[in-house]
Amino acid sequence: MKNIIETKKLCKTFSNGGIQQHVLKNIDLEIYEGDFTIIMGASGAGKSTLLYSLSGMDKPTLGSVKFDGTEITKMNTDELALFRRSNCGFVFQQVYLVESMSVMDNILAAGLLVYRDKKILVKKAGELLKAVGIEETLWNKFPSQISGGEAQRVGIARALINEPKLVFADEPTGALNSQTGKAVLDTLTKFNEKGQSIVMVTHDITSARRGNRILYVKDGEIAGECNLGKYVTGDKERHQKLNDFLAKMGW
Amino acid sequence: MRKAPFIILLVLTFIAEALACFFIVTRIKDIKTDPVKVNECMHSVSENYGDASKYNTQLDYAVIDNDGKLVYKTRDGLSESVNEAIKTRGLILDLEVDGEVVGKVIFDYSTEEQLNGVKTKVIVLYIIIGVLQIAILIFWYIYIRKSIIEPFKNLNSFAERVAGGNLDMPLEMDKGHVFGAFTESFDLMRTELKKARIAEKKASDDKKEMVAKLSHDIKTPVASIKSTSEIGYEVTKEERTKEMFSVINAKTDQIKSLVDNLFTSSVQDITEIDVNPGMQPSDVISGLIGNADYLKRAGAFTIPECNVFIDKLRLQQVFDNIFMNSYKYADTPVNVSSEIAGDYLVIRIADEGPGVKEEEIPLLTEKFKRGSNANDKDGAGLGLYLTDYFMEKMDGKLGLKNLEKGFEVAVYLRTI
Amino acid sequence: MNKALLLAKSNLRKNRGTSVGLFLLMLIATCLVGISLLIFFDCYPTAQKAAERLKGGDGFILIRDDLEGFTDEKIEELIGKDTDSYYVYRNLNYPTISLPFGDGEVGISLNLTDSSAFARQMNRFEVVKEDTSITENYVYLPYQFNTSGGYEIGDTYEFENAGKKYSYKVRGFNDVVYGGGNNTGRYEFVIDDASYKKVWDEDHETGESIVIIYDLKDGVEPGAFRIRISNEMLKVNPNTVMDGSPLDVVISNRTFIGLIVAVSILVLTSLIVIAVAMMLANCISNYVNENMKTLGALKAIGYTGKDIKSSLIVWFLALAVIASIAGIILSYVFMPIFAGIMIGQMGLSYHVSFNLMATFIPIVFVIVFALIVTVISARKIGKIHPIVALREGIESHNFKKNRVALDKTSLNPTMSLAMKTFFGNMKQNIITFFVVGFMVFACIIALLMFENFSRNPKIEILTTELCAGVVASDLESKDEVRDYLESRKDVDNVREIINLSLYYNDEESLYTYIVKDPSKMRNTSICYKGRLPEYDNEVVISGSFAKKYGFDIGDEIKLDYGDNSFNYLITGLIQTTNNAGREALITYKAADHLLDIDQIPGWFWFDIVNEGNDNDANIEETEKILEECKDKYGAHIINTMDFFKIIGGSMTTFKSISAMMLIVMIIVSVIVIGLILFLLIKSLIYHKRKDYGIYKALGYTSGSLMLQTALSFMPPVIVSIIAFSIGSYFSANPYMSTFMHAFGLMKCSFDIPVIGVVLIGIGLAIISFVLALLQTRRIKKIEAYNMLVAE
Repeated sequence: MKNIIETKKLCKTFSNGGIQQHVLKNIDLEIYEGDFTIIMGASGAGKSTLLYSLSGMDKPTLGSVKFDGTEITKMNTDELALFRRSNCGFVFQQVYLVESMSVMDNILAAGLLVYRDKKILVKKAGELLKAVGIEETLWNKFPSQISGGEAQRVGIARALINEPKLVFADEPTGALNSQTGKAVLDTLTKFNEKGQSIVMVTHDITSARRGNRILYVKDGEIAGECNLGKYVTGDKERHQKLNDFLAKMGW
Repeated sequence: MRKAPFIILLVLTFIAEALACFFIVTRIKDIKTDPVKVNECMHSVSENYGDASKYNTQLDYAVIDNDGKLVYKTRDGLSESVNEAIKTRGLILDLEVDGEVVGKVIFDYSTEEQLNGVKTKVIVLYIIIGVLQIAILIFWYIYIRKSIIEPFKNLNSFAERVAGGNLDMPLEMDKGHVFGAFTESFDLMRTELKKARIAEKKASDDKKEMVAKLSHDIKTPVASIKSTSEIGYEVTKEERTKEMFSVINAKTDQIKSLVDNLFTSSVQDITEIDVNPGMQPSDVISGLIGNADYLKRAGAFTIPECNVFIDKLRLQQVFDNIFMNSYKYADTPVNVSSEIAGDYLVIRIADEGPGVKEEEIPLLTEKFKRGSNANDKDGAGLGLYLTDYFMEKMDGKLGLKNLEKGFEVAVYLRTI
Repeated sequence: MNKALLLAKSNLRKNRGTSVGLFLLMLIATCLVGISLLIFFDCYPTAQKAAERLKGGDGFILIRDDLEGFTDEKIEELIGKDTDSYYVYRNLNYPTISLPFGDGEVGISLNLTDSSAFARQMNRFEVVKEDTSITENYVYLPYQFNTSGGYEIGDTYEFENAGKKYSYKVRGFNDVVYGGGNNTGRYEFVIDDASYKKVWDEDHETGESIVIIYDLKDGVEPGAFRIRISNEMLKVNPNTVMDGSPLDVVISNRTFIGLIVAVSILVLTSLIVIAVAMMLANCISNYVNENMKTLGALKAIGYTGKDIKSSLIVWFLALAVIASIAGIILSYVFMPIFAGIMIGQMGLSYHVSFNLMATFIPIVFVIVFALIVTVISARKIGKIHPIVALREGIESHNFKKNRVALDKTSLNPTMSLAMKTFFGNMKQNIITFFVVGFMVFACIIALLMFENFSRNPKIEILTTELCAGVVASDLESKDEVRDYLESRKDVDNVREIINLSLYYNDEESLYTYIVKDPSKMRNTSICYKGRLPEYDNEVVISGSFAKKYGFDIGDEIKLDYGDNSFNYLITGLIQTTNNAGREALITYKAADHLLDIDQIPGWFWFDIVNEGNDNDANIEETEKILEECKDKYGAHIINTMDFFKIIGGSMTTFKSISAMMLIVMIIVSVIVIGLILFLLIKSLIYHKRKDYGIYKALGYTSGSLMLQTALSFMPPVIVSIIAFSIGSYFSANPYMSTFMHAFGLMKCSFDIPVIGVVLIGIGLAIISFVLALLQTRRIKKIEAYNMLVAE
């Protein structure tokens, strides 16, 4: 299996009022192509920090991150931005759509970074929006005028518009109720089935079930990992395996 | 490290310095006599000629009459004759009173005053600029001290602490982040070291505990071998066999003492034995008691159904110990009963032996303490100490008391 | 650039309040700078432009009393060779006449002319406004009568000369170069041809005068020309009296107060613009901070710092361009109000015209400023990691401290939360401190203007020496009159001052005050450099004259009077607005070198003991003294002058101008202060919105939150008000003087009433608090939950 990300001794330290907190400690990790990788862990374990360090959103303190063979820890923020354009897509818990842009403009704002031809781009954005289940009537609405679940699906469409090698999702269902959360997860699963590599941070077991590789982060380290097959609805054995793994991890 | 502001400030002061110098130097060329002041002096003399008290003395001058005789001078050391005035490039003016020339007023060409002014200005200027530059340097020094030297000192004392084995004190982040990832990795190193050290200690503790447990476990079969061999010794008539039993007996004693030594030495080192209690149903307890009562001295008993907070492994050790003691000191049938009292599930294990002297009961749970009747029995005096320790760790307690006939140990298990 | 446009477009929807505030700030800044520049580059040169339009030439000469020998041929002979062109007309002249003007009278020289004045080749009259339905017995007055004299078309204008009454109906007002302003010492009225004929018949024997407007050839020195002509005319007819002035003198006289006004506006504007600029910088940097999350999200999806910066620059530039263009248009719209202030004194009609400098400098200023601030504020976006932006700027390593810990303070919760807000907004506090401070400074400058121009006008600015009245007696009773005046209880500080024209090198005439005892002079601050003369060889001259001929203190100047001349030592420089700024002052003893001072009649200047603020009472009191002198000495009194009466007229102009200016400036200041406070508090609330949400959720009431916010806003305001009140009290004068000096107004020292400063301080503090309370009302509207989740 080809790896997309490979980290070596990845460390990240925060400090507050001078007191250091080592959130990530010497993490050696590989993320593979085509996987729906889940990063789980208790809150404060450092899973989000790991996600943002992997994606070049934040600068790790020590160690290296190779994305598709490119070392990204040495890049400056602008180089990282250029790198993210075509390589990474992001889905955040709070979505972070630009409030003052319509749904369509939000997608285009990302798409215009890679595609020059606006016509093709609009068509592509439309297809993508339909694929995530956003009807055309909503395209010209503003983020404040649509529901949280819809906004999150728009967020997914935005993350996918540039056909990134890897989509990073940070608790995409964290702020949603279980039903809308399920729709969002279904969308992600669907794209993963089509071959989209996804890394998702969650502390929710329902979300974690969607992944085929579960990494458990504890005290800034990868405490364990569990490989499951691809998600199949209602696969009891798969669920049991995951539950056992999490129980072993002290979930 | 922000050095730009300091360099800019310094450069600015230098520029200001240069400009001020330039200004002052150009001003030096401009030294002139002030005609207005001269005029004032001349008039004051001519109008008040003879009354020296009314003369205007803002400039230094001397007044001579037509014969060249000195009439008035503002101070000593001035040119007092025309010739002297010429020599010193002085100013010689006719003094007219009521239209008549009565003498001359000689103003000294005195650049001194103006020069003095210039000098003071230069000195003041340099002092101001000097102070300013020193202030900038001091600020810079303080800044460097705060941003580099002090963090470095912190780092130093941190390194000392770590070298000295104190891994608990974290390294504070320095505000300027001068040392970059160095600070973070250094502190990370500390935490990793600490983790390694804890892991190491745990491993050695585990090992010791295993030895202790093993030796404890060996004791039971050895005791059984010993008693069997003793019985065998008594039962057999054959001298050779008797001899063999006695060898077995002797060797068993030897093993027993060896095992006791091993147990004592390993247990002595154990500062902390891991007890990991969790919720368990009470029905596991009868199994544990069964395991401990390998001589089957206990009669039938029931355990009320409830959930208790125990570590199965350690509770087993507790019961092992209790039964072991009963076998050793009382050697009578054992009565087991249980009840739920308050927050506890109480399991009472009573024998019909001689019991312990009343005043010795509180001492039983101390390390290396044994009852006075135990002198002839071998043992280290650790059994009840550990039992009590385990019970405490499981949030329970141990009750010891003499009965009318026999001795009772009550095990209090925390119910959930 | 497509994406940058897309982002800029989104900014349009975002933070509308801030955008509107920014827009207004930019608009005000452009408008104020635009108006200041228009005043200097468009309005101030009105007199110059009018002189060109109405063909003022290089000056005029008026000959009166005995005109015998002045035929056209003779004039051609005298003037022709030095001039490119000249124009001669005859009309009636009343050399000293009291004309009603505003609240008082002006002592002035008056010319009466018929309608031919509108068709002259030079010094043409131009109607500003008129009512042609008035057909007989009418008069056209100089425009100044309308702008500051208080006359309207249709009013009846009456004046007296030598016991004879003249009464006309005002038909209109006109622009004229010579004879249009009280500061030039001359008015010229146009009356209907019929009336003129009648008056001519009655008065021409005594009043006929010849007016010559001349346009000099290049290279002819104006001063020398005038002296030569004057001498030659006296040769033609020794009984003739020559009068008139060069154009530059007339223009500087007409524009002098205008200049003071313009400089004052500039001073005030400079302060307001500084405050506005600071606010602008603050707003832009706040805008960047407030949108940090959005910027972080954009950065996450792959926008580079450069992309985001360029979108911000495009946005703010667009805002700046629109606002500054609107601002400059507004400045043209409002210009007539400000121009009204200036032209009131000039007495010339003014129409705003397009001025390249005044239009583009403010626009470029605002755009460049906005650009610089945006670039600087946006600089950190380039470096920041997107996740840090999403966390709203909280870095991996932060050193935030918890000040005013609630568990350790003994203050009540509202107070301590206010303190928390205060410490949490140090940057805002500093901005508030300085912005409010500059507003305080601006208010105190306005106060200074009000005090010195309107409430207690600084007449010293306008005159060399002032007094209550002047009595001139002939030589014979000179001592008697002096003794009489000195003996009077209601008369104070009698001093002898004579005015004479001395000549410098046949080039310039200096209007010279010959003062018996300079130490008695009332206008003690007359010398802006050096000192007043003391000895018989000393002189002070006006600064502009000194500058023109390269004199400085300590130099000697040769002054002529008739055939006598003497070298005087210059001991000081004075500034004067009269006599074309060509004035000098010497002592009696010094004058003795040029003329026999004992043979000169006695001119006694005196003050009155009971001088009050009521000008009419002063006029009356002085008039009484003058009348009693006249009664007592009859024909021995050759002249009298009631200074208050003269001042009354000029003061009317001055007061009305400054009152208007003050009103305008106060309105501007209030708008700016309100706007700035609005924006300050708005951003304060924005920064703390989340906290308020939490407090509200915890059960703090809106009322206490509002009070607490308003309170937290107050410490920097109060500290600033106190610091800047004290600072301004001491620095307003030097600041104003620096500006005035830069424009050649040397003589100015102003009073600042302490009580006014205190009132301004208290007023501003109260207004700030009330505005803060009003602003914080929005806290009430925001639901706790919305505050918490708001992005």
